[in-house]
Amino acid sequence: MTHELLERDQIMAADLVGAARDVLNVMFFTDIMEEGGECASKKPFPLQVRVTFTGDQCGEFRMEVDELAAGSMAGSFLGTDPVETPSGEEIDQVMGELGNMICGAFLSRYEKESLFSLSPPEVIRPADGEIGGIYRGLELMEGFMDLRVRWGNTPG
Amino acid sequence: MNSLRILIVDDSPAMRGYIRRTVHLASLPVKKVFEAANGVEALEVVRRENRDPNKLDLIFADLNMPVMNGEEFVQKLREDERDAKVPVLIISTDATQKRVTRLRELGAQGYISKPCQPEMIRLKVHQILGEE
Repeated sequence: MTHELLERDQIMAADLVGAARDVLNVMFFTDIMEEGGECASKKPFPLQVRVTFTGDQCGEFRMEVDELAAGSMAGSFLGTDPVETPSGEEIDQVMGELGNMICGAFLSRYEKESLFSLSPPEVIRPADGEIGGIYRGLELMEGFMDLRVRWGNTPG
Repeated sequence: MNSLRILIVDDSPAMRGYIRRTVHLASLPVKKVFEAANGVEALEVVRRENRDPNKLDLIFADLNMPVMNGEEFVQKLREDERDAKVPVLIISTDATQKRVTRLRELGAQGYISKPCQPEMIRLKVHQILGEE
């Protein structure tokens, strides 16, 4: 890999984590404790969110979250009583929105001058396959999250 | 500021709930909240609820929605002169400059990028309604 490609990947990864941190801080009242390439996340994840984007650039974003983190973050977002657990449907809705927000925030940072259309987020249980591209594993206060972005045409 | 009749347009029930709570947290005087899951549903609500003597004061709208997205919704809304003056505040993840410029051209009065805090929503609402 050339030096330029490595540098571009590092900038992209930093923007991806920065976007996730912003969204998690402001709307989910949580934070990233650790970040890395292949972090100690517990795979396979039970939940995956996919968002494809088209426009000046196209590609795919994927977010995977463990059950504990998903339930806890959904509860924070929905403002439910801490002793209540959100339903599976509510968790999926909120995780879809979280994936949508991180993807949009990332693109707005990394490709400021471009115009994109995002697909509605698709929630898949359990997580299904990897797509390559830029990857960051995150340890949150509540559990683990993986983020991936791949540029280029999406299959199907 | 008088008590507001607002419409929240977002395909995500979770996000509609978040905006509803955020509006409350921002201490905005809200009389009635209507909800719609896409632009088509939103136009139905507007045609029903934005007629004399009652008018809608503000519409919060997402961009990425199935059936009819936020841009198409703003465009359609502006085609009927009875509804052309209802202010629209877009709340979306897409904060690229091109998008914001296009939305202004279409007739959206304001834009907030997600993630957003209640204070930002309060300021934007005051800014938009203050200009009325």
